[in-house]
Amino acid sequence: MGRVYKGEKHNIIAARAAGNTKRKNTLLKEYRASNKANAFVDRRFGEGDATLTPEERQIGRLTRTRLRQLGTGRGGKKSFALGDDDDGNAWMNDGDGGDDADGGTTLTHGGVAIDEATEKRRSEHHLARRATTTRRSARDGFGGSDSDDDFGGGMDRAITGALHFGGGEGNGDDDDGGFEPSLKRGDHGVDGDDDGGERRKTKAEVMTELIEKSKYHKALKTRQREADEDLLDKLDGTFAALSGDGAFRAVLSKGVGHLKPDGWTRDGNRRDKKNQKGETNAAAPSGIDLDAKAKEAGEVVKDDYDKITRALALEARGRAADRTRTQEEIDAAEAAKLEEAERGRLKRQRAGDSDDDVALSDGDDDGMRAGGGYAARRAKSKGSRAKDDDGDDGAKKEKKKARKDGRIGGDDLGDDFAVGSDGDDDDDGKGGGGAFFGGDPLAYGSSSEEEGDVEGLDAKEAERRAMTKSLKREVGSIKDLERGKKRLRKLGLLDDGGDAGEDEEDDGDDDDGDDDDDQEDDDDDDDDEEEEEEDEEEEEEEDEEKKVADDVDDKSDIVSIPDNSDTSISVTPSDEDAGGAESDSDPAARSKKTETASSPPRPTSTSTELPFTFPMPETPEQLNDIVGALSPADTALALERIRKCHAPTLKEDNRKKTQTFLGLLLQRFEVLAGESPLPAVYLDILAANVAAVAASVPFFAATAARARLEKMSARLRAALRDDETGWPPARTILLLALFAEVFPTTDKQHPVCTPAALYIGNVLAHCAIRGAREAALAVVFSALAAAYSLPGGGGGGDATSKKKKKKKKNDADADADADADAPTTGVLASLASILSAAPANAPSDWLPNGDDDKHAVLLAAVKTLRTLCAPATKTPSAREFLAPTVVAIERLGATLRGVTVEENDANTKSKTPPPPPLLLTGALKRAAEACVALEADVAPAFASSAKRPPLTWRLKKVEAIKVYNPMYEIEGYQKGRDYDPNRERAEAKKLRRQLKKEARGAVRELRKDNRFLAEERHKESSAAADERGERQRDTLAFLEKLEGDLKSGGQGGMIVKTQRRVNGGGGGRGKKAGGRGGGGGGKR
Amino acid sequence: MNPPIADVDNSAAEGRFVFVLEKASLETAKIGKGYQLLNCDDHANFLRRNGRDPASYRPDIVHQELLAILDSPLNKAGHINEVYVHTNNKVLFKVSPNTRIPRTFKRFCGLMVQLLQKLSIRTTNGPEKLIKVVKSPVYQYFPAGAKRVGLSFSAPYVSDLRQYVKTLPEKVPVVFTLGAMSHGSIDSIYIDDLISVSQYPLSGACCISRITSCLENEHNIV
Repeated sequence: MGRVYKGEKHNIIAARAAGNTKRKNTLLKEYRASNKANAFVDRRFGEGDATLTPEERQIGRLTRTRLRQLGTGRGGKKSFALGDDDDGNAWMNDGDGGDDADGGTTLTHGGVAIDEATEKRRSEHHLARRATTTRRSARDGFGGSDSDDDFGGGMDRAITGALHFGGGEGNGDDDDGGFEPSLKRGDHGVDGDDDGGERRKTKAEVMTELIEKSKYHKALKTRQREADEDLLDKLDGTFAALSGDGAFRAVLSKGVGHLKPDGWTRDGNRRDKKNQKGETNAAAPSGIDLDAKAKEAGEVVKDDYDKITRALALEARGRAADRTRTQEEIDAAEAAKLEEAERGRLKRQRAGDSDDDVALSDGDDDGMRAGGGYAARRAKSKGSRAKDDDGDDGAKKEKKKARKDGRIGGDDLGDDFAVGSDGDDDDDGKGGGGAFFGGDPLAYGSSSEEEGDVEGLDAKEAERRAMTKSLKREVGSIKDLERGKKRLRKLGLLDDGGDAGEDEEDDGDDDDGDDDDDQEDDDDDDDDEEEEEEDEEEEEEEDEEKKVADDVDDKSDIVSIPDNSDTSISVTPSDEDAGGAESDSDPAARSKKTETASSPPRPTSTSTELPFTFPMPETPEQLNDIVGALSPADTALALERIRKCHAPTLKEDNRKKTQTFLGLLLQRFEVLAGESPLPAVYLDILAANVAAVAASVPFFAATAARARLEKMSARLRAALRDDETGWPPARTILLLALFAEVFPTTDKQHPVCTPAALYIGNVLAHCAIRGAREAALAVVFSALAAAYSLPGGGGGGDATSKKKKKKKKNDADADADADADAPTTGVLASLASILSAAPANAPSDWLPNGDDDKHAVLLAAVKTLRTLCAPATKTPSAREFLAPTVVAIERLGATLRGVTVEENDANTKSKTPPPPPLLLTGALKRAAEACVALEADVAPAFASSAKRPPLTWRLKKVEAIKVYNPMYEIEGYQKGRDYDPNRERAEAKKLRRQLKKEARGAVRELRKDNRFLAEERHKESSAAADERGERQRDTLAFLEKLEGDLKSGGQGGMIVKTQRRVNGGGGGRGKKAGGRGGGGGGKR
Repeated sequence: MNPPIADVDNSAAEGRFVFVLEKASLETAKIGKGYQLLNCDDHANFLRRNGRDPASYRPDIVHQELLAILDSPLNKAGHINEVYVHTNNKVLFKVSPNTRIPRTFKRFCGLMVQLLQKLSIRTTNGPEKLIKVVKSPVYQYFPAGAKRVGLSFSAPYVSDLRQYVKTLPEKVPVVFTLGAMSHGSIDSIYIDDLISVSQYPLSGACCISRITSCLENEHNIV
């Protein structure tokens, strides 16, 4: 169905017949010719050309025959020198009009006889041509007019040139005066058939023609150019004449203002010359004078346009920004700023003191003002001065001392100035005065003058200074010994206990009797305010001195310090030298400390009077000196300034100093944290500074922190071993909080945070909660744990559980347990305040001082619990994780609320019994709220985890059977087509198949040929046999006749007896035949 | 909450179920340039011209049934031994259970056209033949001692397949014979049991899915 059979057109019989005829035509012929040596080859005209029709063939043959006859005839005629008349007539008879012209006897051209051969060739060519045209006309019918065009009246020049010798010379078309060289070499569109007829030009001729032609064109071009220039000149002349009038130019400039101005010319001199010429001709003075001037100057006029162009070209496009300053530079700048401010401050101060101080560069006064050994030092300095024989100095010294004793404060500077200006005739003094006139740190320039002057001191003085220094050092060392002894003694006393301060004071008295006296004097002289200020001053000066001492030690020179006091101080016979510095400052510090202790942090001065630069403190005492007595704000300022002055980027050893500083800060922090009314403000400030310093020396900070943590954990271990609860003191808690602030708690592999977290975990895990205090501590520690763990999101499990426990405890023994702790906590909202509150409870003065605190702790616990729960709610295992917590919270919440709703429960608090519990107050109310919030937080996590499918455990994965894709053709399968994706292979296969097919076909053909040939051969042989048989029969018949004749005895076989026997009825016939045969035989 | 699924090795060493689809109308004809699988949608005119009933040319039924058999978890677990398809033109070919039948009908037609011309289809990635035309009769290929079940709406009684499956003897191969034609019923001589699985006449694919789901239940294949 639907099948189309391809073989329908294929007629087998016809194909066989065709094959047979083909064989007959080819194979048979070959076979016939196979035994023959010669072959007939038809070489008649047109026999090899299949395109010719038989008619054409005939015509061609005829013409050839005629030609042959003609040729032989002509040759014969020529040889016999006969005329050509017949020939011409013959052509005429042919009816070819094209050849009329050269018919007849005109066989010369230009007086030259035409070659016979040429003539013949041409005529032959025409013959051939005629043949084609006739063919064409035969095809078209006999019209032929279109083809005759070429030969008829409309002969074009090419043909004329080719066939008629160029048509003669009288063409007369050279009207342009010259010649028109032509390059005819047969490429002029003349028919290809005509090529043979045209004379080919030689190469030399062609070249000469070429050259001539190019010359001709060049000449033409030159002439054209000259004409153009003439025209241009004429135009220029008229333009110049026109532009001579000012009006035209005005119009022009208005109309085309943006165009180039007058002076502008494109090309140089020729134009100018022309212009000049035109100018003279036009003689227009006003308009042209500008041009003329320009020409005189020999340059082109420049106007705004050019200027603007140049300006635009040279304009700067952008500017490089300042580069970003490095940290080092920033630090340096800040330090420099502080130093300058300090310089200014000191100048203000000093101006009040005396100009001489500076002028004389005598630092003794400072020394004298300093704390200890005043009298001795004074004596010594006097001695040294005496040695130097510096009378003037001595006198001034005296004077200044007097003034010093007067202790004129900063407010009285005016007077001081007056005095200074009165008493000073030194130029230095003047400088100082000038400085003061400036009235403030602005007078830096003058001070630098001063400095210069100071530096300008002669070498002698320098020598003297060196000597005094060495002397001082000796004295200092002696002093050191004494001091050491004293210190030892002191320590002994310290060990004893309480009266250390007194002893110190005693010592101070012993040592600094003069100083005390001075102070007493001061007290006598001045009123309280002044005294305070002076004290302040004194302190500052002392600080400076120390600083200078430090500097000397370090062999470093901060610029600011030499500026104000270095000369004086370096000369100072003070006993504070390298070794002695510490012990030296000790008493002073102690005294200060005692002062501060007696009247704790007193905000003595405003921050404006704070020095701008500080020496880097190296002992706790030094730090205490600087900071101990300051108000919180000032403390912050002072510490910040210290940091800035000694930024580790500024100097190499500043790093080491900063490390020491950090140690001191930590120590101070610990000390303050241990105090019973917690100085929270100071702690905050310290913490901020510790953080800042730690950032600059992170390694040291980490080391210090780790050391402390190790100590803590060791202590914890010891406590646990001793079967104590092991809850650490407030100091530890605060330190941990500090570490949490200083170091990144998010870092889970931190050298500090990790041990700290571990420690907290240990505390929470191992420290037993035996009472309300411990419970409160646990709350605090849980909060700490939250601080350490929360930003990371995970963990906190331990803390949570602890919290839970604690919560339960809170819940269970409720507030009845007298959960009293944090005394200070008004607000426990933030973690920081919890922490600051917690230490306050730590000092073990465990005062169960009220419900408020209990409630506050409860609230804190709930809030911390909420914070801790937050990350857990996001985990998929929130349900399992938080289930106990939620139970506890629910119970707590129920309890808190339950008091309100239910009258009495087993759980109800004893402490909030009958009184209207509906009104939960303060912290309790908020705790209840927090409970609700916590439940709300956890609820979604619970809801989501409720839908979670339980885990299943599969031992082995089920494997499906293997699946294979069937291979088939998506775009339709066609039988017999090779779908091998490998194209080459498919091609090869196809070729092989084709080859096989062909081979089979060839074999089949050969077989057929053989059969055909065999048939032919058989036919031949049978024909031959037939022929032979015929002859044989004839012969045999003859022989038989002879035999019969013989036997019949000459009767020709006609024996009657035999005849009768043979013929039977028809004897007559046989007789007749025999007679005939006999007759024949008889004839022979 | 459901108990965790017991871990049972479901895969059989060799499947014990054989499916035979009888009277599948898979016939090709030269339409246009090449051969095409005749279907009532595309070749309705052609079929009418040639005096056939277009309604009976439904190769899509075979397609659906093959998909239902070979994509069932029963097959994935390796419980199906072989699938035979017997066409209206008395061509019988077997389909390996590892065959992934083309999902689209057009491709399936291409596959069938090729199969019916080449008489076998190989895998794209292996020498083995997935589909192969075999000699009739089909019962010579049944496993020895197989129980032969015919499914037809024309069966004398309706049996609940779940119950029926339970009555099948253990470890004995079962041959299910279904029709893949739109009208008529199977009339195979080799059938032991002719049952009807529903009170309603079901489509072939639906019936197969019933069978496979019941067998899956039996074998704890999920």
